[in-house]
Amino acid sequence: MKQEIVEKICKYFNLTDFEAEEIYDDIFSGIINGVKEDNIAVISNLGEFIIKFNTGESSEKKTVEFLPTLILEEEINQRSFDESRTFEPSEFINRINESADETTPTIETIAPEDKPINKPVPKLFEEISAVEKMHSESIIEDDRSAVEEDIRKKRESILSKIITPSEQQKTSADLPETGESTIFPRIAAPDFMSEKGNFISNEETINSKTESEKENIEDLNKSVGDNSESTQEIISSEENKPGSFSDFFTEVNEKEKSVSDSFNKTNLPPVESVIPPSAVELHNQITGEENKTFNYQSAVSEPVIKNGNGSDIVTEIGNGDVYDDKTADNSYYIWYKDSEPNTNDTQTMSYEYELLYQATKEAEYKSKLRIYVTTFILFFSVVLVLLIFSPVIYKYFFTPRETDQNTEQVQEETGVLNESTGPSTENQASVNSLKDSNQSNANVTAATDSNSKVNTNSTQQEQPKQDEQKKDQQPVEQNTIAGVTKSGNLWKDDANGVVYLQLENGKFTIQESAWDSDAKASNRLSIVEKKVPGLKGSVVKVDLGSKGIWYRAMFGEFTTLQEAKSKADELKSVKNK
Amino acid sequence: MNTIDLINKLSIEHNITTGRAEMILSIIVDRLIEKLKKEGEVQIENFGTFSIQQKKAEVSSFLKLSEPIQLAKNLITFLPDRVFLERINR
Repeated sequence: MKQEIVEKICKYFNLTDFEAEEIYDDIFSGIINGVKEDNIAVISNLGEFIIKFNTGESSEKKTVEFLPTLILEEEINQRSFDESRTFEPSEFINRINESADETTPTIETIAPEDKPINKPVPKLFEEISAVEKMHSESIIEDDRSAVEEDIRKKRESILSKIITPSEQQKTSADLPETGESTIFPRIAAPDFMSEKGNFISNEETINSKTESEKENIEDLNKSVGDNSESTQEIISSEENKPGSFSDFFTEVNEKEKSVSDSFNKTNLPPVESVIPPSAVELHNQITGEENKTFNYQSAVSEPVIKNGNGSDIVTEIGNGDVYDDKTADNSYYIWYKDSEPNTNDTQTMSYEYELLYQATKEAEYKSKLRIYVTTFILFFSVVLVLLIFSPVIYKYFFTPRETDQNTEQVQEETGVLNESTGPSTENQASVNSLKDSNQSNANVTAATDSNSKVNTNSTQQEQPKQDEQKKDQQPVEQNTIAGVTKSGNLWKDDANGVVYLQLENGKFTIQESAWDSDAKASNRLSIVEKKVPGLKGSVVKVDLGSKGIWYRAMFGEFTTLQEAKSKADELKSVKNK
Repeated sequence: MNTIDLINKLSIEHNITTGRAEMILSIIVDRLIEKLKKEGEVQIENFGTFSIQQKKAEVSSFLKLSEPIQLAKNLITFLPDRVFLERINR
């Protein structure tokens, strides 16, 4: 036992033999120590070890008493109960077998006389009664006689069921005598024979034919010899209906059938082979468990043997309806749901394997749970972070930059102004743009309005930001002049149709116009520079994305807006000339 | 002493998890019971022998039914080993 357990521990827990042996020894030594220290050691599923003090003067004052758990006691008593259920008293069975051995020659050779057939049955009863007496002598009392009589009756009924084949043997004696003293030994017919119920081997057919022929002859003699009314009727019927050749054969076949049926009646299984299942069923009925046929069933289903009448003699074995999931080895079958449990396909799992299986399942479950929990925590934390930093994120990623918007819009407007002039000369375009000051002004004002609207929206949303900007722009606003409106870093001069921009060095320039090509912008520069001597201009390339690339014509660098405005006024006067 | 104490002791001494110790103990106990059921006697070295004693069937009368019922009972007995007794009686 120790080796078995040690091997198992080594196998399951990947331990060395030495370690496993140590653990095994330590368990029992631990129990001993526990008993020694606490006077009691309780081990679940096994029982309690308790110290008992001897009163007598002996060398060992203390002894150990073991009290098993109730479950263990019940299990062990259940085993005895099961054993008592599968009651097979050896004497009884041996005697029956002996008697069956005695009866076997009578099955093979049945004499026409009745005496040898009747012999074994009373013998059996005598023996059974003797056995019962032997059992009853130890137990019987007057008060229990009634109960025992009932039991005896039941036993007799079981035995009668067992003996029925030999009793039916007697019926075979009533068969038509052939004059021969031997009858063929009974053979359990296979299915295809028994189903038809008419199939007979060659020898049997020959015998039956001879019998039938003889019977025919006897019948004819009788019909000739006797002058009864029935014979007259038969003769008259024969006269009226002359029998054909085929009719003769049909009559013969019918008789053959009758003979074969009677023969099949005797075709029963040998008594000595097994206890028939009918007896087992009866036994189960008595004991109270009708469904417990599993213990007596074999794995391979035996063929059903039928009578000539079609009724079953032997009940079907291995019907497969009753399955017990627990085998005798205290191991379990495993099969999937809605699948037929077969002994070939299923696997047995011992209790140790079950424990390991459960442990692995638990580990899997824990790992899965860990994954779910971690993912949930991560997701939750990400959401929390987003919620916390949402205002900051909105501030940096979703708020539009005012300066960019404004510049782009102004450039759009300038572009629109240039495009509105249509196909014209380079100078005309610029000049017209300046000339149509009313229209352009109107457009620019619209743009400024829109810019102001945007600004108002942005100001409503972010007042603190605006306050900061205001603080920065306070020195710039000091330079504000009438007729010039500020939007972001731009100052729009509607009267002159010009935009003032503040450079990085803090100075102001005049954006006179914007062009869709570099050549046009440079032309414009040269024209303006000729008209206004001392004014230096430059072309600045700007990429406005979807609106395309634009070239801005910028003029001069001025320290104050006032200077820039005065220059713009000069420019306008030159243009108007 | 309790099973939990024993398991804890095992886990500490052999540096194994309590779950493993519990499983080992359960394997030993189950194997012991199985063998006891099959063979009727189990001998463990330096510990003792478990055996099943079959009690004779007694006839008891249940008054309400006024029917005799046969009662058979199996008893589990434990005979401690000499080593076990010596260690206790030290």
